Amino acid sequence: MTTRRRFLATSLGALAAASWPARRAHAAADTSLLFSLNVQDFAWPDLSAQLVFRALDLHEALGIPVDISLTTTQSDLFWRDFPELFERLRVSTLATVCYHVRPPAPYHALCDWLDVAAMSAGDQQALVRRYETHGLDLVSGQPSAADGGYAALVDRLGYAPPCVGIACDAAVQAAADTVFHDLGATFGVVHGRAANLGERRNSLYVRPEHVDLKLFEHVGADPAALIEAAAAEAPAVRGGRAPFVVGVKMHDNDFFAQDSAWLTVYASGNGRRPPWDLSRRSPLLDAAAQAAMWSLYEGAVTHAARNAARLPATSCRTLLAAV
Amino acid sequence: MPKVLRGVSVAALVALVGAGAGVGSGDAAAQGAPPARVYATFVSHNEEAISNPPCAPVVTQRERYLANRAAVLDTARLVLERGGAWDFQSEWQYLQAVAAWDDAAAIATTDGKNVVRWLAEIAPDRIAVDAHSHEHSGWNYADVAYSLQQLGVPPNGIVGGFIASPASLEVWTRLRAPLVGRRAPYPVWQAQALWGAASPGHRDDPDATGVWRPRDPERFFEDDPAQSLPHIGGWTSDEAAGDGLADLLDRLRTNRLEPGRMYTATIMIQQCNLDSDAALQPAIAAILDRFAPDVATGDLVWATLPTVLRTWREEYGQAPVVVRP
Ligand SMILES: [Zn+2]
Repeated sequence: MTTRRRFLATSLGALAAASWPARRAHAAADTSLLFSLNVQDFAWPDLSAQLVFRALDLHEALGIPVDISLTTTQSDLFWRDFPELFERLRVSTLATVCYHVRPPAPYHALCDWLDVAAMSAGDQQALVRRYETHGLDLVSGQPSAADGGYAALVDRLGYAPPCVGIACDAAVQAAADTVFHDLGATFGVVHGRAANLGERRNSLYVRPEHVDLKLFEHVGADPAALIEAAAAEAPAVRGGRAPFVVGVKMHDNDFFAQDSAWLTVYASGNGRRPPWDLSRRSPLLDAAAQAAMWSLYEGAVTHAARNAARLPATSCRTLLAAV
Repeated sequence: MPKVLRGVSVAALVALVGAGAGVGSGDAAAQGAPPARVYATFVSHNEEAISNPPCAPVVTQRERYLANRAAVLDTARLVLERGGAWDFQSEWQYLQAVAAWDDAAAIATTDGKNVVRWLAEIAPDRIAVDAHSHEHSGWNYADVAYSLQQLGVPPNGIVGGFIASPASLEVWTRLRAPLVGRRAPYPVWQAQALWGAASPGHRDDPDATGVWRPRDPERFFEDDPAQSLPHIGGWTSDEAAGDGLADLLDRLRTNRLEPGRMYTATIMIQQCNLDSDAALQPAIAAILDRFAPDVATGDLVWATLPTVLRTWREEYGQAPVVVRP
């Protein structure tokens, strides 16, 4: 008897079959990989764009989905200066554009230069909404007059980026989650605990993740071994419930710079208040270090492609079909 | 001894049937309720493009939309010709495509109506148009029902799919009260019946046949007469296949189901495959042909979910049934 459940409960990759007609013939697999590339380096926009092109080429050549998470600034930069890249992101069915908040947004964790935590819930929501419907002035930390933020990204893509990284201080998280949910987001990224499919944080679902594999910390290591170790660990994580997800995380700057632009400008001895000095730029990695990072990443994606039947790769759009 | 044994065996049989049929008390038949029957319908879904890349062109490309539209009409005619039933359940994005692309040329094939209105009006006992919502991307059931209404389809209150299991993740208890939309004009909508209890990723769907009023998240399978929001069970909800329905009919014929009650089953179809999978329409026809003898005996009635709800209320006296596969 071919029941819906038997069709679908085969793997997280096949979760998409809840709505996808093309059912994948995976053997039962309870653990999936979720590649996410956080793109945020406003100091080196050309390198950032180049890296995203390269990552798209790799993922599309190997058929491995990837979540490409943009900040408001990177969304604006790509939209304005790299329209070809933006269009590729928009129409890709393997890449899912996601979104994350970084300083100087005052509701970002440890960046509350505006004392948002002391505001009423209503004022917090109004503030987050103003930021997430406008551009962000990186010097003053204020919303700009132009359209921008998460709302503009929704308009530009024609879909609401399903996953959002909005790490806030505890007093502000609920307001931020409410606004992002209103604007169309579905999942909030959480790290540091078992995040199970279907669980919520305020009005958002949590993006499932049981192991946060920070691939960028492991240059020189064997990517296959790293992924296998993380996949083996995922089902054993305390509080975890199937389907298990291993997040495989990178940032654009990991591939070319010593530090991220936002760390360089907003955290490293530059004061925690506006105005911020955008002339500070992190030094770039040398060619060998850049090659080593790419090789690590390429190895990880290649390993995922070779083992997709056993250890499928999922993405935020696939997860969207599962809740 | 034989007499006593017969007495015992009848009592045991009643107990067995009662247990098998879940919550029923067995007195409905005695009070002149109609005979036990299985009510079935096909249920189709379309989805948001983002979460469903293979089907995305149906809602993002006009040409593909129109090809699928033609296949939807063919399927409707096929279902009507063979006396079947179909609940066409729609997410928000398809409805936007209808609004955008059902132009004069398109509606010329559907009596001057857009496709969802045509479907909803052609034979309401046979084809219903219900809301389906994952309640993502800034939309909820009230918004989808409102979109349908804007297209000329009055709300029928069917909730076309929702998470019920595990209990901690349920989203249905809030649907007992009027639901306010998430987008302008923030419409208010009241659910009349739930269908399609599911779990994240369909890993542990709370499948059952029958109509009952779920008590609370932890006791979803318990009928609570004090509740007003019933759930219509989809049984195994096979995808484009009738084996689950056949099994249910077999249980009915072999007296393994409590008499005088109403049993329910649904068969899933993916709307976007209607034009892209040449085997799908023939599969639907084959299922309808396969069960024609059961319709002839009266064991099976093809009926849409709103009709099932009405029948449960008006003919079966809201007698609750929950039988799990
Ligand atoms: Zn759906």
